[in-house]
Amino acid sequence: MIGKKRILRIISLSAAAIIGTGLGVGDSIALGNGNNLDQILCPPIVDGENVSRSSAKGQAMSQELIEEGIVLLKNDNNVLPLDKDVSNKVNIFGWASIDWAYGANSTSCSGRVMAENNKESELIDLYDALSEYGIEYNTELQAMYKRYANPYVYALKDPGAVSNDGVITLHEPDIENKTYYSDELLANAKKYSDTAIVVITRNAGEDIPADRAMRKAGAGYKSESGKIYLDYSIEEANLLRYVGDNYDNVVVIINSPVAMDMSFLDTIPGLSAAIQVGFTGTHGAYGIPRILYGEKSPSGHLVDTVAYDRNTTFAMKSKKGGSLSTNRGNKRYFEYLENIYVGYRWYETADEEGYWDEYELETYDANFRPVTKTGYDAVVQYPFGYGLSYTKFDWELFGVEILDKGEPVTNITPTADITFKIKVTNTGHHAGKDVVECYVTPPYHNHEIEKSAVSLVGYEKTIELKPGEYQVVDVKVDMADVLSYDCYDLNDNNHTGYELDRGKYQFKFMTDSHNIKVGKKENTLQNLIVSYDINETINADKDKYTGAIVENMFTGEDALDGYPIDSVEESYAPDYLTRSGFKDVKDFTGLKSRTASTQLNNAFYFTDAKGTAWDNAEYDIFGEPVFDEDVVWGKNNNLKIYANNEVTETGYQLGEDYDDPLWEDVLEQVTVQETLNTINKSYGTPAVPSVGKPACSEVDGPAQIKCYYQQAPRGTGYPSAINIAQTWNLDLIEAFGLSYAADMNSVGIFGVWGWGCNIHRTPVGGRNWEYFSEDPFISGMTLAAAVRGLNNGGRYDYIKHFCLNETEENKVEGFTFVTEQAYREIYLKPFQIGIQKGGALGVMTSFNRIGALYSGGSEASLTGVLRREWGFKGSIITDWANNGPYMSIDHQLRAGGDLGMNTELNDAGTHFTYGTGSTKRLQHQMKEVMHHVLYTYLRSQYLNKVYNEDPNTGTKFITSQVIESWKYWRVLLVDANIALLGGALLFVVMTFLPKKEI
Amino acid sequence: MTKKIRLIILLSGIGALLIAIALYTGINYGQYKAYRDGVEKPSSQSDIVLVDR
Repeated sequence: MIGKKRILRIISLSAAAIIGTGLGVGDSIALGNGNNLDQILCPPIVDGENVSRSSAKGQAMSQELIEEGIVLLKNDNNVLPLDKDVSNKVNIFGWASIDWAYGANSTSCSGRVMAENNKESELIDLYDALSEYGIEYNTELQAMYKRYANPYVYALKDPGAVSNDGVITLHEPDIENKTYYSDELLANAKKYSDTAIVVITRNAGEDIPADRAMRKAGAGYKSESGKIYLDYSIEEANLLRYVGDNYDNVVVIINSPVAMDMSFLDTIPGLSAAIQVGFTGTHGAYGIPRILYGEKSPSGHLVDTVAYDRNTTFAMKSKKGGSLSTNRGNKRYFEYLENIYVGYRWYETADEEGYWDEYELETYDANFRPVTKTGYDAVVQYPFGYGLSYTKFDWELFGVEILDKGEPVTNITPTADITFKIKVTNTGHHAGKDVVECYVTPPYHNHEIEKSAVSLVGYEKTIELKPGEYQVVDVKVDMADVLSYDCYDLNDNNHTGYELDRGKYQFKFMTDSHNIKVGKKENTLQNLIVSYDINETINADKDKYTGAIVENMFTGEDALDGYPIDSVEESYAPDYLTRSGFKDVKDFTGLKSRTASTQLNNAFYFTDAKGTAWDNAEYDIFGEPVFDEDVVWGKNNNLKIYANNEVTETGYQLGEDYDDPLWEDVLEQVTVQETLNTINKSYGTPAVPSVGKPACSEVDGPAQIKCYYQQAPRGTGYPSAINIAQTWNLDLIEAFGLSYAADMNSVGIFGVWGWGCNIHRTPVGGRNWEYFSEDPFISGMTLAAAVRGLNNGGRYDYIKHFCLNETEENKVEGFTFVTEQAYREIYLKPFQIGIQKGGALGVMTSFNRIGALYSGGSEASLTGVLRREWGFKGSIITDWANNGPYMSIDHQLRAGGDLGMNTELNDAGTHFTYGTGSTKRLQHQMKEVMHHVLYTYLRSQYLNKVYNEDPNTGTKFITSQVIESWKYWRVLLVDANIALLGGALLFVVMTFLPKKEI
Repeated sequence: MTKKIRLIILLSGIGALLIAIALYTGINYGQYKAYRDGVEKPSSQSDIVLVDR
């Protein structure tokens, strides 16, 4: 029989073991997520006064971005600008007007916009903006909409309470419903004002594909057959028809940046004027009345094509991808069959090829007379680059200068820079700004290298010109943006890579992607086309900015990762679109289900065997011997990059030059543990005590820093990325970047996970609002300008999502196939410009696969393109990794990446050892992580110093140091360990003490 | 062993744990306080920005 004493001892020992094990597991989880918990529980200390000052400036910047980014889509009979004396009272129609879209929102939303200080009353919608401007609105109408349905303003709510279905639910009372639109209300409205503003809103958010079925509020959440969220509903159409029939001055406001169906503007009579204001951020709406009433002339231009029917873009046919049966279950695969013909490249080239010849569409003209449009005009409602103004401008080609490596030349070369001088004169009666757009039409030879009929290669916005004033603007064209990438040697010149193909290159000055401007010189019409002839194809084997060799890395036998990105399987070849065969694809209906081959199945996940092979290889994938020297850890060379609360001279020296020999001494000081702490569970980079680096907080953006946090303060809620690109004003965008850095500074954040620069491959990309455009050039230039401003303010960003992340639907693990030509010319291009012309210091990889490989595991993309070709020296982070064996940071580390967001080494099921026992190659790769991470921090500080010391730059930006909070939770954790473990041990001791008296 | 001695051992053990917790917390907070005293207050050290264009 077991005695009571023995039972007690067993219980005490068991309890101690259970408590010890529990603590071990709990500690491991808590400390493994230590960076996250630090950020959430103990964020850096901020100063409210600084936040207020930064917010005030940021909000003014938002207004400026809206004023310059609003696109005047339509202005029949010059309804706009409104006269403040005559139209000082307006009717505002549309339920959406009481639920203004400031920014995006969803359950898992980067890019969200919320009130900076959690004060909902300070968010500015159209009503607030009009009131502030001195315009009255019909409150009876407004009250009716509030009675119909409560505003569901997601921007104001707890982020955790957002419902994706709720975000995209349409509310609109039917105009025939007398409970709401009573005869009296409508009669009163007509008496109140003859001016009607109709607000149409479409929201968006991460993880919400924009082509979800239309969802209308009411019992059962009705839909309309075949319609998606971006279509307009019957109720909206009926409202628009009523307003068009009953009001003299009708202005439609599109409160959404994405390309929703706007065909109603041409098919419903009486809708005289329309502006697209996008997402306005928390305060940008103040800019809307200034445009409506003519204080400013609209100068925004579209950065996406708006088609009458979005399904006319070829990419829509394969947008949803196909089902792929694999030995790990059903997956999704995508083929970018449209090749380089994305957005206007498709519409304009198809027009050139006669694709639209048979198209017709019934519309109305300015006087409400039916008009039949034909051809391209029946397909494209508003071309890329389109935007009206209240005034008129004449352009005159004033001169051309071509420089190659700084020397004047007479003809274009692959490395030349061209400057076109265009004199822009305001010949109208209203002050305004104009945008000069330069497109190239390259020579196309049948069945050879794919080339778009037009591609944007340069642009410049004027300052505000009063009537009669002029400005000569320099439109600069970098010939690196004109080259074609011939991955298949289609022109048969025994060369694959970038080429300046033989033939005539026409540089056209246009008002949009479709219309060439007719210039004027001394009252004579001037042809604004400048042509150059290339007699023989010129190969461009080196990157213009780094001098690195550029050659195929993703095609056929040249595929360095082992898997070509156009198709892995020899037995299966996607039918990529070729310009010679446009007319053959009209009947294409989409991708078919298929079964993965052994080759494709082998590519699936990163494994111990693959990693070990990499660790022990003698040559890298580029054919060069791997690093084979001893790696030094933890040596004390008495160097600090940061001391006494400031960056040291050593730090600035290293920030100036990534290749400075002093780097070796500094990196020798770093320990293995510091390196592992940096790679694992990245939520900002931790302190590196051996060299003095402080911890750097990094969080989500990009429309608003700290948007994801329920607790205020946050940075300014800015307009969406599309709004920003629509300004076409690079100086303004650079100032925006600086303003964004001010916000980050004020809330103690160093790095932001953004901006996004994926391509609007289709109008229904779920995150188009967070990316800039369908065009890689303006995407890259916008990104580069914002990054320059950010870096000047001493902050850095992770541009994302690298690469081929053009869909929200099935994005995780999606196999994404594309030609190397389209990969380089369309999808890599914005990143390249952001890095080479903006100096971006961070890159975030994506959820999808590049071809068959996890994007972060593509060594050809990360090391080959980013680091070797483009000279990228900053940090590469994963996206939010919680996908089992997928998105392995072990894989990304070996591919050339650095940081694991929400993941750590061996999280994906591998069993590697990282430390002094690792191979020299792997240790070197770990050390490279620290080189990249320290450089990212020091480079931003160095650029800030240079900016501050430059007498030619504007207001100075003093980077404040981050003051850390007390990490009380870590102390509590230790205290809990002492209490529980100590208590358990005491219990054990007590049970083992002799009970009898001695 | 008397109940009294057992009680003394128990109380000593609990006391030791409490002292350990207090010491650790105090030292940690002291180190943080020293760090805070070494840096300027945020309001005085941040001549922030602000993009006047």
